[in-house]
Amino acid sequence: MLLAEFEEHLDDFETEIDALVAAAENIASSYATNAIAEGAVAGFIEQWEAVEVHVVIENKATITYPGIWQGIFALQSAVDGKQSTADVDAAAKRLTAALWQGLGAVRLAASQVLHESAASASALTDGAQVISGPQTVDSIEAALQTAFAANKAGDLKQAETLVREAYFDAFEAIEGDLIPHDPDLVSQLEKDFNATLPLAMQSGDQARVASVLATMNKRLAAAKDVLEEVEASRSDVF
Amino acid sequence: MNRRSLLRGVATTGSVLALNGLAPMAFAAPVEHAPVTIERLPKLSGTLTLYLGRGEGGLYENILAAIERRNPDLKLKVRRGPSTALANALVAEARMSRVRADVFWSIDASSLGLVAEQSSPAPIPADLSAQLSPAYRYKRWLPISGRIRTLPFNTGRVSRAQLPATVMQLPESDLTFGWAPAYGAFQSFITAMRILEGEDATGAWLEALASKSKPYAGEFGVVMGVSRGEADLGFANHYYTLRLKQGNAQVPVDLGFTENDAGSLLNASGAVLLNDSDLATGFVRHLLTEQVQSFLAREAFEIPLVRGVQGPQGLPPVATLKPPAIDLEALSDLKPTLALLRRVGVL
Repeated sequence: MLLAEFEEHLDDFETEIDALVAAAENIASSYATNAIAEGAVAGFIEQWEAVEVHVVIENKATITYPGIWQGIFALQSAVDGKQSTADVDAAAKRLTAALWQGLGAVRLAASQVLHESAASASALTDGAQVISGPQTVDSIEAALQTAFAANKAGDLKQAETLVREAYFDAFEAIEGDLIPHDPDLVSQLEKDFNATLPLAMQSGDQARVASVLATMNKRLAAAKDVLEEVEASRSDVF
Repeated sequence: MNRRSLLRGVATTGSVLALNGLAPMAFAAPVEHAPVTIERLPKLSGTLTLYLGRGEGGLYENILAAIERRNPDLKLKVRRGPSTALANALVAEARMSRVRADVFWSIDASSLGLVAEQSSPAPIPADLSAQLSPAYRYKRWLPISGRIRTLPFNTGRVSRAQLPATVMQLPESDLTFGWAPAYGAFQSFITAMRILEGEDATGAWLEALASKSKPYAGEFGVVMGVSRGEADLGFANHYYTLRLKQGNAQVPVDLGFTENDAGSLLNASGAVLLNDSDLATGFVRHLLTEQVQSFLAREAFEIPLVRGVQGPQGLPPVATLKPPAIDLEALSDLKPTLALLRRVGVL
């Protein structure tokens, strides 16, 4: 459940680790005063198995996972073996250190997820990059051609991604200028991008995909004509 | 309760502004106010690094180009990308204490809220906030322009008087509807409804409307369908209807608005100041000028959030709109919405 979006729950995990650390420290301090409850370590194990951070450490910070179990068993062994207060205290400290290491590794993994997500952004470039409406249409046509090639090569996921990006990153940038001049054209292209073309690609029928793309290219050519007029009348900012 | 659920909880009470200043509240009464013009701003000089979340068409680039032309000693370095990707990049940079950007300018409030929460932004100078409508004076990011959810309706089939004051009343009407459940803006609208009304009420609302609704691939298709009489009323952002009527004022469609609910959700573009340098602040001042605000209203039909700037043609005065108080950052939590749409068979 949490694994798919674990990076969004770091604060929750820290709260759970805090509680586990407090429980381990309580075992050590109550042992020192001969007030330790029967089954205290077993209770700790139940708590550890119930928290959500458990499965996240197990899967996203795997290298630290055995250390936590080793820490728990060392503490259990020290308590059950009636070892010295110092030994129990040292075992509890090793366990709490292992818990913090686990949380730290989860944080590192979350940071890497964010980096991977951020990779879709561009590198730094100098200055504004004003791209005209007609140039945007050119980029859409090129993206659709690449999507067609990907689909023919059997990579449906990549093909659908390219179509989706062409729609959101490019077509949505020009539809506003097109609507006042040719609303039916925009409505048809909106349907092409979001339904007709993806469904054709999913069918695996390349002739059908080619036919849809041919229709889209005609519509995009009409859009380009409109946009050339719009660009000529674009108002200045200042 | 974690921070997200806490915010979600207080959002439903309308008190989220007091918590973190992320959410809008109802517009205040109009106040006479002269916006700042570009001529009053000092020239910018130096190197400014901007992270630019995907904007209204290429129009943000037109604004950047105009700012460069006016400020020949300004050297802009720009990183572009989807707003969420750039927000994630900034969060990762902040965690390593190596934030490279001076300003983050983004199309959607959820990415701005994320960066405002998880980096260490500079506070918004009071004189900048003072230029905005009072409901949009946040502490950690600066709204620039907005877009609002609307109920486009066919004026030949429905009178404005037939429109209910809230979307939750729609299932009780005899109207037919057009919607685009696979469309991101519709899913944000349903996410807002989930947050404001709860999961059960939203599920019941969707089930009640499903049998009376015609699906479309996108929200411009919804507006076109309503204009053709295929549905009495639809769900779409404001600009599609205004654009359509810009081309043909006789089209039988008009904008309906609800009050203080998801049906009138207002999302904002804006900027986060990632340091308090004069250059970063000066750059953002340019975005609030009358000229830039008017350009966004004129060319993109965005709603200017600076006081005293006229909104896009065909939109009622901003002060009369009543968007809900909601944590816009929470709108990025789409997974439960998609699950709900699938569960009720709408998606």
